[in-house]
Amino acid sequence: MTAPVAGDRRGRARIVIAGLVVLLLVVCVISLCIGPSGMSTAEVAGLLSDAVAGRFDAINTVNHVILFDIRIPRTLLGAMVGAGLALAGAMMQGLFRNPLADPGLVGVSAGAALGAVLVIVLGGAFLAPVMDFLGIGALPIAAFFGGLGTTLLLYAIATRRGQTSVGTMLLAGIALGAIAGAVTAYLVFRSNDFQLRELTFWSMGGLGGATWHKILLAVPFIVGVFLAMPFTARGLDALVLGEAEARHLGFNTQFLKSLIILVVALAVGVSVAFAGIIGFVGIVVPHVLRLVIGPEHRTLLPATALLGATLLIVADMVCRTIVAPAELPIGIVTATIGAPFFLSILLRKRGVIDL
Amino acid sequence: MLEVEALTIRAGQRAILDNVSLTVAPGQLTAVVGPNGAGKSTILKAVTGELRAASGTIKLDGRSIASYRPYELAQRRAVLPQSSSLAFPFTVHEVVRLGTSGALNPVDRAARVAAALIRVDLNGFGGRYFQELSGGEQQRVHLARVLCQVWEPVVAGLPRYLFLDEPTASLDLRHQLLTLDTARNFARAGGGVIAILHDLNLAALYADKIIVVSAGRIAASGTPREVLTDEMMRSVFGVSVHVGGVPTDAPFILPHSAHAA
Repeated sequence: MTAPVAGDRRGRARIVIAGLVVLLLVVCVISLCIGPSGMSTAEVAGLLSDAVAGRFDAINTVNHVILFDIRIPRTLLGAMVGAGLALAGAMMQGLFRNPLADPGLVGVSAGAALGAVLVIVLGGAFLAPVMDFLGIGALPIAAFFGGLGTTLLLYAIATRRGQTSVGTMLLAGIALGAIAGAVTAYLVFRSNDFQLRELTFWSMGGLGGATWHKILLAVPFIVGVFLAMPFTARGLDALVLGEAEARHLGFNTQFLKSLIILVVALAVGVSVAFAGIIGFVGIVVPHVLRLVIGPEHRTLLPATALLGATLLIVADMVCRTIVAPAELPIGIVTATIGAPFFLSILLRKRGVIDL
Repeated sequence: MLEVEALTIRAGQRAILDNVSLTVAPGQLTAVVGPNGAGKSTILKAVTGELRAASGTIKLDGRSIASYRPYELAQRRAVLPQSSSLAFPFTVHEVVRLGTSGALNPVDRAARVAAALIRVDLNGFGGRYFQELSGGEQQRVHLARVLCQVWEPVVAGLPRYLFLDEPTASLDLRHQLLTLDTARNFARAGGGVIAILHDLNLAALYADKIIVVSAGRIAASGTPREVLTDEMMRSVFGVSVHVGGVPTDAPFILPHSAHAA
């Protein structure tokens, strides 16, 4: 080991990432043990060790079903959605060079939601052949294209002669979000009672509907997002200096920006499709971690994925225990944890973070 | 050798650079001077590949700069921007490290960063937050980053280049001199330097060659003695001064014999 160099926070970042791995595992285990059924920790441990050992005597018991068909998929979905949303936030903030940029802010989430609502409302009629072909997979795919479409449109508006204006992009994003919101509201207005019921459940968000089927559909999206991390990390650092500076440092900035936009659409699309619009994860998680381990994306991105996953699983645990047997929409919890935290950081660190 | 030939760049209908030709030779410090809006920054943006030319050619060591891939160009030249703010709380060490190649091992990278900081007179600043530094200190941090990018002025027999956009703009006199000393040493060691300068005295003191830009054209080019004349000062800068003369009344500072203490 060499002595730490002043201003080099990578050593600290590695320790924090190791700690976050442990924290995520602990939170996952707690999440599996908590719920309204009153299953004891010992029973959970017994079922898990049976499964690991290949014994399936208890396969049809209520506890087995609760653990393997409800709690495990729910925890996994929470981890994937949390990691995806937090990563999307971190990448978007790097792209826009603004710690307040967030997929929710620039209309990507609204576009993704429009895609999902289109499938729900028109899935029975107009889009029926597509639905028959894709089944429930239509939802994340439509949300992905909704998010991607919004982002590309935004890009076309804000980019002239290969230069993206961040200011125009942020403002155009607000307008596009409003348009997507208006179309979504119109579709909701036009929908019948059955669709309305489905829409209401979907728009409340949350991880309650997690199934293995959804997990399998979400995995390719999330794997794509994770695979892009090492290819974007150094470029995102350079982009912080400015686009011209990033090019001077040798990065193909147009390719880099396209890749980031694609990855953000993937992460937001799958999250919105399966868990609704969940705010604050994408802003709070990267922000907190920048203060602890610094803004270098090589360490920031993996740490962000881990803490995002942890945060959403914890928020979900709060949702399903605080008013059990009913459930609170998860957006309430993330906003309640996230917003005051965010404000306190803002006030305390005003000097260091120039908004 | 950086060779620009018959370069024209338009913004809409207006030609902001009109048929500009110039060369930047390795081993020399070439200063670009001229009044505000003459097109100095545009020349720099064109030779870094940031702006596309309407017509003309730009060659770096015999090869058109459009044919370089971004990472190839980054290995041949580094660009010091006029100003660059950061949205995130990077430390000085982290900013300078952005200039170092990922091919170096971590220990060498840290050593390179420390050496670059010493060279810009910011020894021990590695742990400070970039955003908390003064404007002049920030500019020197970027100079250190840029130096890291082209640390050896010559690699495999080919010169590397420093493109500096007003490197002395927000610096005090001592650091103006230090910065230009650094640039000149880079040139003496075989690299090429092109610097936009506003202070004609500094240009006269440090440049091997001065290029005067006026209204999108090259008005004069040559050694400081050839270029800085009473006639040029009047026709290009619109001031009637006697070059080499001494002002009568007011106190003045003559940096020609100064050294950074």
